[in-house]
Amino acid sequence: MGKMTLTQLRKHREQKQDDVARGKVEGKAIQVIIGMGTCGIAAGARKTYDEILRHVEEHGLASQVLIRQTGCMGLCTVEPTVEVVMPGLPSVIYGKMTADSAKDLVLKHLVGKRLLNNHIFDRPAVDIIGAASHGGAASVGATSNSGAASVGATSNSAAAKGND
Amino acid sequence: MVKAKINSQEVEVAEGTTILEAAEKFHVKIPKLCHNDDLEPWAACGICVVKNGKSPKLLRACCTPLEEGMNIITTDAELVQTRKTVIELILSTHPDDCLACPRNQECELQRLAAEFGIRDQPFPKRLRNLPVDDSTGAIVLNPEKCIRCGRCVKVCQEMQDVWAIEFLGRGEKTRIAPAGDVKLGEGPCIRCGQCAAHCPVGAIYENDQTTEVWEALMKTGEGERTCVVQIAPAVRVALGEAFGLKPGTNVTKKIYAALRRLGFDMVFDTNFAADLTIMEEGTEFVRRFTAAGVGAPLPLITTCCPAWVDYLEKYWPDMIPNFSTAKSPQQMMGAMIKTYWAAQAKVDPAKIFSVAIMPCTAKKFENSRNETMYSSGHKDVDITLTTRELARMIKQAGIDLVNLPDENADSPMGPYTGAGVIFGATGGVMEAALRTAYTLVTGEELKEVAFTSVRSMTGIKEAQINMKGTIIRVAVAHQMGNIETVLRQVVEARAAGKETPWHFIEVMACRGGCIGGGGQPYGCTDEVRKLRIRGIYDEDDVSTYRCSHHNPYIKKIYTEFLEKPGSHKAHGLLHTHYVARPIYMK
Amino acid sequence: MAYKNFILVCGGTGCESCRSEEIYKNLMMEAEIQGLKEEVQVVRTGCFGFCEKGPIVKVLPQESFYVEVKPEDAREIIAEQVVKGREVKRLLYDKGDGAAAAAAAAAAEGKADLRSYQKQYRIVLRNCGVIDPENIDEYIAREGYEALEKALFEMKSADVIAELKASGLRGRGGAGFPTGMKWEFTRAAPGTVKYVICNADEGDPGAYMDRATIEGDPHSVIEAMAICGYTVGATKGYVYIRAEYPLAIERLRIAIRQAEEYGLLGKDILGSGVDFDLEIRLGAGAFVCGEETALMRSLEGNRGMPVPKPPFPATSGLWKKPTVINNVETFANVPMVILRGSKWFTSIGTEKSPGTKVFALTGKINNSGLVEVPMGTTLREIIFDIGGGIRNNRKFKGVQTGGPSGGIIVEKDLDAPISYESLTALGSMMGSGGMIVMDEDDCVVDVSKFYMEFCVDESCGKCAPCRIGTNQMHSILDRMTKGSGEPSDLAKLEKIGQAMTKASLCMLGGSAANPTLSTIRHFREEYEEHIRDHKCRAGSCKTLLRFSIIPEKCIGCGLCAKRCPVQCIAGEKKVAHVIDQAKCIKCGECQKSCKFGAVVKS
Repeated sequence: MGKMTLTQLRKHREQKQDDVARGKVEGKAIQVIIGMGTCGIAAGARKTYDEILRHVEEHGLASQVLIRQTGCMGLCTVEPTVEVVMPGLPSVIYGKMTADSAKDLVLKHLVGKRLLNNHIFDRPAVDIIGAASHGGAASVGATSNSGAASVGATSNSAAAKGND
Repeated sequence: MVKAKINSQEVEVAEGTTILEAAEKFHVKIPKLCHNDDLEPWAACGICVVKNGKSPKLLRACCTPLEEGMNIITTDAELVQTRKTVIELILSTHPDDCLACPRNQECELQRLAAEFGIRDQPFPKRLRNLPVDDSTGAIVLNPEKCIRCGRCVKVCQEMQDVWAIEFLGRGEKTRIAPAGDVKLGEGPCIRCGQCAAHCPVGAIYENDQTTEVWEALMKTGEGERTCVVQIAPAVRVALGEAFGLKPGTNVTKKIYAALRRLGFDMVFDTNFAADLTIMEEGTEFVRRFTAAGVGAPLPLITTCCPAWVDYLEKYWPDMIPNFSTAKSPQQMMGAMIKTYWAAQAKVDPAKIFSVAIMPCTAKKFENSRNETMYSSGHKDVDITLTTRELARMIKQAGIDLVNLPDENADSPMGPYTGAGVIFGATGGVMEAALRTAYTLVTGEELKEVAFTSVRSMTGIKEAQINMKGTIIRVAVAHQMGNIETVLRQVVEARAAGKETPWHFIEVMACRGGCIGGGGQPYGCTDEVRKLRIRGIYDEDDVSTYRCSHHNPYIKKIYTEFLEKPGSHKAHGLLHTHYVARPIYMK
Repeated sequence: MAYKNFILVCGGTGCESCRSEEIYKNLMMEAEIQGLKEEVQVVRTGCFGFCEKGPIVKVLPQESFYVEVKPEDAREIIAEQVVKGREVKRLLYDKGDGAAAAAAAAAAEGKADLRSYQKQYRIVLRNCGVIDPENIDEYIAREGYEALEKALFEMKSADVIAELKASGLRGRGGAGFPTGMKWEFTRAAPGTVKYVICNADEGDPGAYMDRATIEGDPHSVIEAMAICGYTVGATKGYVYIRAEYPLAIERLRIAIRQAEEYGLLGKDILGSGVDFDLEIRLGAGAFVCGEETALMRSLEGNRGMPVPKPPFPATSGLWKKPTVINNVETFANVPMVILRGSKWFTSIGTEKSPGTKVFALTGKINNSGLVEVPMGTTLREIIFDIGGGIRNNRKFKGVQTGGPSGGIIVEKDLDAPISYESLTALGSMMGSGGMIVMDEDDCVVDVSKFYMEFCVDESCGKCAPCRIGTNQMHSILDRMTKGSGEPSDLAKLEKIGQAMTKASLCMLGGSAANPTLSTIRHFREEYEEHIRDHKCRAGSCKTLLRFSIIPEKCIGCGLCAKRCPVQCIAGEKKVAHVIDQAKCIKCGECQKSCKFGAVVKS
């Protein structure tokens, strides 16, 4: 990318926000986001990551699923945490996703489009980024299932697409 | 200016003045322990706490500047209780062997405990059995007694820039220790003893050799030993402090009397040897200066200070050619006693026990520095005692120093000139040398002998001396931490192919010169240093002879024994050499 | 097959005790009865952190948030929401009336919308758990570096300071000094060389807010430091971070490299003519290096020991140059303050303590974790709602805030709104944000001893009250927990504690006695029991414990004797057994093994 000017940075930002708004990151519609802070890793997040990757590949979903990492979202008792964002289902955060749960996640959630029992945890707070107070820009808030309004919107539209 | 109140009294002081300084200025006492006037506040002990109005937060008086409108309260029940508890805590980590401690009755902690009326020790002792380090032969480190006030570390690192002592360990395991955790004698220590002079307790002190001297004195009566003693210039204006006299009081003649009562057979004065040093060093300087064109190393740097010699050998070995080869007065006197005087008095030099009373701990190291310290064929100076040790011996002997009759030193090495006495102060060696060099360069005698530009407490002093058209540039530095600036300029000029900034440099390791030496009575502050310096110059002012080359006994010694300054014989007895030494022996 | 609705039923401990399991079953049953099994999935979830209004039911995708739901409400939820697509208004937390309007009004005024059921509000942690910390683009997409743009191109340095001062942002490292003033002093200090330091030397036991922030959102700190550099006229910054945080260090390294590549650090940032470089320096993990003067000495390569203040870092800091030193959390707030404005920021929190505070909630709590709440939130809300209450339904005893420097806060004070002032008034302190919850099984003497041991280990050794006082207090506490306390010990603890508090040079020593003094204040009788009766009511001081067998209850099965690791239980088969007290190591295995409740602890 190289050094940017102010204009270039702004353009770059818009482009990235557009990608997110269109529900596709790196061309993939499904995102599996694994909490890889020290707490997550200590609880086995790396293994979970590897297992999810393995099952995603085994089920031929590699072209649709982007597996990526994030920091700690604060749910330390229920690490490792995994957030799943996909069309047709509300975005949810799963806790206590040890490597053993990876298969369930892929089979039931990604393939079966069902939510997993006993694993869902609420995102701890509204997302202040992209919230109403800031001009309502369609930002990454959408992916991250937080501000009530934005989540509803995304998952609805996503659901509509998914049901086609 | 800042206006505030201290114990309801209106005070006005310059901005930046600490609460402690302001209080002392207005005669308000605030108890303190780690603070020392020579050092920036380190704020380790927590005893000088005071209150500001109703604020619940206590302030440390030593390091908090007095601010406009403050209402400082220096004492109340709560403050007394807090300070007392802190003292009790400190005592819980300090051994209770005051009676056998080198600092007994001169210990700042002991004094504080007495003032606070400590009667019981509520907290169990937490001692660590740390080993004593006496590897330098000059100063002894007893970390067990250390109260971690940090003075020695700051003195060694900040004042002296030697970095021989460091804090090691953390928390309760913090201890003062030689840097690198080697033995003190195997590291950078230059034995200046400033750590010992600043230590508030008995954690660092001079290697006490009074017992050895007493043993030698025991044998004088039986004719087995002839005990000869010399006293250094700076001792005479400080020893009185140990006997309740004002700093700077000149007790030379009472010291002679006391030394005779202690049993010394002959009492000489190092000031005489200082005159001798000037003859040798002054000649050496003039020789180098006039030969400057043919590459003789300039500047010439003085070498009377053994701590400085040690420092230079370790840190600036490239400058060794610039060092004066003249020995220090202590060693010149030592050599003369066991050769010139021994022959004259028909005494077997092997039976002479030669003692030097010095303001300095490094002199204990100097007397066996290298083989030239044995130029008489014997150890030229057998034992060096510090001023503090002499005071101890006088007290042990039950001698009432103050009321002794005045006595004179013995001839031929007793009488001295004003030039010899000022050796004890910063700038003194330079001034004495210039007085004689003037005559050597111009062939004329000075009308006004005082070179006041090299006096004063400024860390680095410079002067240009016009010797009938010949300009001599000199620099004087004291307190080891000031030396680097001077030498760096010399080295830089040399590297740049420029002329040397100075022709002659005097260096003394201790602040104020030898009068502020590491072996002098405790409690040395700049105020004390100034009084001691005054005492020395006062004697110079009234001296009959004020230039070394005027000393009739100096003339005599050259005529009878040494031939002339810089002669082959003088070189064999009065000169030495230097070698580069590693900072760490291992 | 795709569900239309998802009904989430809270399965947290708090909600479960309020019959959430019944609600779950009823919902499943109703879905089946009403023939909607293919339409709706009922899911049992973890705790929602809103236990005071439990049980909680949430319906997706509508995000309908139902509180205080009863099992009999199941039918209506299914019938109304799933069948007719209408919310059951009477169960809604926010009854729906004007929620959107209120949010819009807040937005119009430039204030924050705090009407969520969620007790947490995340400014500092806004990106943690959302973005990939190793991808600068994700940060940029979420308003990243917009504050820097704004500062560089739309604001003068004085404007930045004015905004910060108006925001009332205070240092989150614990002392709460106004950040705007700190920056202003540094900006005004004479000199051309100035520094910006981020204090990431987090050292309190149980605290990991800074680690999580840097691991999750390193760019927020980098952006803030660049803004600070521009504002105060510094071109060089250091992040002083403890070497024990390898992941945070790695991510920070990556982030700095990416920011440099994009021209957001380095020379002529975004063409503004402003230069700012950032370097990471590793601390060796000495707690005292979190103290700013000690930190700077350590950064300079010296022994990390505090030095007296004044001079303050703002005028004479790193290498005696004017220096801004803020902690991670403080910096992470800055971009949002600049971007959203002080009005927005002050609408969160309390008047004197605006904004939020991050806490690391640990101890005997159900939902331990990282929480960020608006100042003014009560401890009760944090512990019993967000934290989901005490583990295993034990009784709450106290909460330690401020780590080894803070004090214990007890039940009666739990409703105090959190602020710098209120916590200090309660005999504790804000500290950096560690929050350790204790229950009735925690012994205050033992806890005090734990903290004192920490201070003993971490005292730098410079200052006498701390160096010696911590050790003396620790030895007294230690002998109390071993049954050899002396009657005068309490008075001694208080005497040393007060002297340390008053006479120590830095806050490590100045606050080291806090845990002990505050527990003595609240639980004096427990200390007295330890000394007088050699008894530990919490049963955690092992030396004081005594396991014995009630002969009437013992049937002589011998299981306890088998389990005892030191073979100190003896007895014939079918005859009551006896424990040899002299040999017993108080491990408690016998009590655990006895099926008849014959082994008792006293």
